[in-house]
Amino acid sequence: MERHVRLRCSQLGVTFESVHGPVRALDNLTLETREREFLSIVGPSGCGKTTLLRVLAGTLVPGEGEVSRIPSPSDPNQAVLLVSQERSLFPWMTVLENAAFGCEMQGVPRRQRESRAREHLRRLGFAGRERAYPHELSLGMKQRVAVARCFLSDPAVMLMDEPFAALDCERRLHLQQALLDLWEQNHKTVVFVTHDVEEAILLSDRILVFSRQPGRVVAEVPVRLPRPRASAVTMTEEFLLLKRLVASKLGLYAGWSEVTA
Amino acid sequence: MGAAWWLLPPAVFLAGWQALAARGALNPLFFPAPSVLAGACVEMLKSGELGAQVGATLLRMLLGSVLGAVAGLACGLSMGAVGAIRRSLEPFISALNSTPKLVLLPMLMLFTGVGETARIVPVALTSFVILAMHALDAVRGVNQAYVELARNYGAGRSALVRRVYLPASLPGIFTGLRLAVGRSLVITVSIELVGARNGLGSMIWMAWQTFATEKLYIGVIATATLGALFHRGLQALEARLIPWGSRAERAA
Repeated sequence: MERHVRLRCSQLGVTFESVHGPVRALDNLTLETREREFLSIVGPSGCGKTTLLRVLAGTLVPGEGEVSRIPSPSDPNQAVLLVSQERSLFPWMTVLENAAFGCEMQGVPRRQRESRAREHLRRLGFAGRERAYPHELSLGMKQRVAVARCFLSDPAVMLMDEPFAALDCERRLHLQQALLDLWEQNHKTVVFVTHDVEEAILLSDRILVFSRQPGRVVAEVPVRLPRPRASAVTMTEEFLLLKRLVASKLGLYAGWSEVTA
Repeated sequence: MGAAWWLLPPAVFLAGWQALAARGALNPLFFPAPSVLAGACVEMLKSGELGAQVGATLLRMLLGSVLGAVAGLACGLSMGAVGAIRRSLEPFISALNSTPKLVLLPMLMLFTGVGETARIVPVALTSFVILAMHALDAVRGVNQAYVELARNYGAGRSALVRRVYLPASLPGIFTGLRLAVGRSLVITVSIELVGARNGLGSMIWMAWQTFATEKLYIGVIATATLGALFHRGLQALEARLIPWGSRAERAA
């Protein structure tokens, strides 16, 4: 099935000025993401993943190249929203206000947006704490709210910047499952950045492996594991093969010779 | 239970003072016993004298600091919002900041005559400068990550101001407000000391000139108490208005 391209960037280049001189964060990067696709980007830390997402979200203007947002026939919406790693919630808003913020900006009336926010928060296991402030929440809870807000705003493309990176293993598994379940309901286009190979395979349809700085795509790995998925899939033979493949492309696990697939 | 610990040092101090005074070890002209002071205080409250003096000070202070704070807040926020306004006003505000407002009193009396205007303007200027500087710092200190986040969700200029810049600068503005109120009290009493017929400052000065030691003490204590009350009151207000602030976090 041929899917529409929703977001395309071509020949992106970004250079930051630092005290030690210019740092090349992204170099000649071209990628596209298709409708209803869950795309992951894995790479070593400092490979320009966050920079790429900020460019895709439109909050950072690249020095070279361009990003195009493409409306699809079924969905004219072109909004691209980012769930960042930290400072993803406004400290001065309650959980409910934070979750409903996207709808608020879209002009949805208060009562309507709050009931929708409550519904999403409940599905993410958040009932009863809607009036709390972010500083009263654990990191995992904060990220749930940020993910809920993103889904509630119903953008064309969702960008997620290692949203679960700072969590312990168990919480991370919970949230990955919650994300998979939410995603199953609407199959949004997602670009998910992580440095965790298992997480990338579990969630995605396609994985792009990035090189060390400056960020370039060194490999593209399609993931054809059946959906809907649950975390038990990580125990299967196919999963392990994919993990070996991606890890070898990343240059992890010294001693392994490159797997050819 | 724990909240009452702050009462211990003054209680010990007063008890010691009272004991020394009772033994006649202190000259009552300079160090009247706490019991004598308390009696005098009750006397002044009954006659309405203390109330009148405190009222006069409060009126000047509140009038001046409210006017100054509102203007200062508006000025600071607009400086934070528009670079051109900041660059053109900042030097004057820093200059005003380092000028003791009391030195303006003679000049003001020259312009407006010896009256309330000359007494209130320095108080207003004190609040104005502090609020302007704190509001400016607060707005400029807003974490750009939140601005970026709101923009990503489609926030326009007015939504950014209402939902990000204002709430994010509220804690900084409140710090300014607490400082401004404290300094306003200082400057009000100072002005009354040198040029007013009523108010705590004037009462203290008159007490010194007539050697009414009890009144002198009571005036100083009343001033300190007012300052402490304002500080605590604003802290409580801050905790109510800024439930996400660092103070609320510590209290929780």
